[in-house]
Amino acid sequence: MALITSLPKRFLGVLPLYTGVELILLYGIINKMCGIYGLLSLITGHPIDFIQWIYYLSSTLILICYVLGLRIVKNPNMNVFSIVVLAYTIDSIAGFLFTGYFAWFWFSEQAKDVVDSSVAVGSSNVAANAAANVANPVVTGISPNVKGSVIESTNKQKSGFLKAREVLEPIAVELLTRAVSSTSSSSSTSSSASDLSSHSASDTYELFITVLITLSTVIIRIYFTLIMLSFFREMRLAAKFDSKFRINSNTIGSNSSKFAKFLNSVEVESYKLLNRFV
Amino acid sequence: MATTSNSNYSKVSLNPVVLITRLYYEFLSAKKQNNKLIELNLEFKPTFKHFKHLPRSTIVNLSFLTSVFLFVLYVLPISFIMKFLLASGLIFLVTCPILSQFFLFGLPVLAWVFLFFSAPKIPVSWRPPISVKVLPSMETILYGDDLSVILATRTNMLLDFLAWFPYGIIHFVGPFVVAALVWLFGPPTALRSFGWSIGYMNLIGVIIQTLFAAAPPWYKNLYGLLPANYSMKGSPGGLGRMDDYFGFDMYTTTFSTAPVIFGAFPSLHSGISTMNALWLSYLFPKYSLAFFFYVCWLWWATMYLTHHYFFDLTAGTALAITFYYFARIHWLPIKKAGLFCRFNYTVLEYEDLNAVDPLNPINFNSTGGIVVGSAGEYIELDEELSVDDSSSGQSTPVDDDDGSTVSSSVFTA
Repeated sequence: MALITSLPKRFLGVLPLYTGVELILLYGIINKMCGIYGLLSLITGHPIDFIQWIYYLSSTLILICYVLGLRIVKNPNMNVFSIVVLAYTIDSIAGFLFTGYFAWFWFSEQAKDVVDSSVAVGSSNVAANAAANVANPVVTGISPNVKGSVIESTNKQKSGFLKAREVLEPIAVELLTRAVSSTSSSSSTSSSASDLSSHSASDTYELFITVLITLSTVIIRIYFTLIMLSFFREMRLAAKFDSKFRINSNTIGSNSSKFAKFLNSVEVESYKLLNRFV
Repeated sequence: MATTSNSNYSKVSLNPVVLITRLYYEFLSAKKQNNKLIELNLEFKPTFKHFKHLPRSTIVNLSFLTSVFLFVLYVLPISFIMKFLLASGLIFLVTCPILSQFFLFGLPVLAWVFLFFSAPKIPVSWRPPISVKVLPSMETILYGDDLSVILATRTNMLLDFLAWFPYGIIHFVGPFVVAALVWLFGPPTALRSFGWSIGYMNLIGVIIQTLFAAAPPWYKNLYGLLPANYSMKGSPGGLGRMDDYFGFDMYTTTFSTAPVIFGAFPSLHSGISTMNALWLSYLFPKYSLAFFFYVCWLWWATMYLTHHYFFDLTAGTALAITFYYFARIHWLPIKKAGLFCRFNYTVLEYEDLNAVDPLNPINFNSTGGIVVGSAGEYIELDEELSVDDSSSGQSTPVDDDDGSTVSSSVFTA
């Protein structure tokens, strides 16, 4: 039974499906490259957690699968494309789950950072002050003020959080110096502190853009998956007229290797599974 | 004059002297054959003749580019007379036949260069707020980790040089070399598609960078996730170390005073390298793997030097693929495997996507009879073949094997 009955017949309404599939696989390959770069991070001694291991290894496997599909997209056969289309579909669905997990991972890390810094700083506001000052490095004559305010605020806090201050103070001062030296050269401009702070994006804006881009990638991926499924369906329909579009299970001979047999059974199973949906 | 077989063309010597002699010989021989395809227009008298009866797509294209030029002229802080001279110069470039045959198709590149260098003159009040957190969060959300940070944690001199070579040298030389190769070894008119695709990719890239200003990874290393502003200077990132090695200022000043500082997204380093790789693969498909490897190398270099996040790289490459395919589908002639250089083309053939569509019934290898898939699954027999078989008639080979339809070359080697 066909669960999905109305699949697009042309890519973006104008291009033949195989051109769409070629582009989709190319876009897929560049995105799956993250698997290789993620595994490269092991060389730099960066620890990766279990989910990341799964993500990078599966990305690398799927990358190989897409490359194999891309090579024969102009002369496709059902065996390879059963795997490619199924891999794309699974990758899309799993991709949404990974996206959700990594989004949670990122925002919880962010929240932890904020909590950490507020705990470390306590009420001293050193970091907050530094942040505000770096954010608004007033161009002319501000640097004495800025330094003054940091010293003032640190003086107030002599009683507590000494350790935190020892760590944070040099960082804050360094950030400050950088920000001031980076802007002081353009001191001829007459912009004021409030002008400069308006250049930076608010947290709401950043969150909005992040959600917008994430949602766009999800929508694009859904469309691409539909195109892949449609390509599979059209191939299966064409199988009535051309044998190259028929699934071939004849490679299971006495002289074929175990891997070839395994691969062929995966191809046949992928074909059967896809047949149930499209 | 003996007719050479196509196979002789595939044996190409890499000796530059032999290559140049060969090219010159092919040129003379094409001249002798009176090959109109390779002729250049040598007239000087400005004319608007080629602007008559333009197709709608060209009108849209030219209107868009004109509006970019008008915008640039508006924001540039120069006198009215200078603006007038600049505009007249541009009009002269596209009307004087000896120049317009190149510059009319190179307009996207000019528009990009104009917009890029005038970007700092755009009034600050018009510009969008600078994002600091969007790109690092997108990198983690889509790709699982801070890939760009991880790859830049350990640096040493060998890796510095390894990263500097593609990022600081090939990147700036590459497009010129590829343009020359496309002109020489591609079919006539291929250079137009190259100019269009690389120009538009960069133009759209700079427009996105301007509308969505975002801080690169070096910003995070210098200032953390603190808010940014437009009076800040740029940074050479890891390339600053190269200046230390060489002992002179090659990158620090250039990057500190770059026209677009908060232009991390998309990465045009990535875009340009992919564009080069795609065009070189079109010219020399045998070495596609090497060109792909070059893109991977540049990707690593870009992250190692803290210039871009991984998400910027994939976006830049996706942009390059999109514009390359757009140009290829619309205007790019088929590169014949058997022909050595532009002077060997006597006729241009274009790819007809529908004609080479493997799902187009004309390409079916009919075996007769209706067969059910051997895996034993049922195929709905009542469904009509839904393939669009209206293959529009361009002079195109039915199969997609480039070599088999080469009109036999009449040029002798």
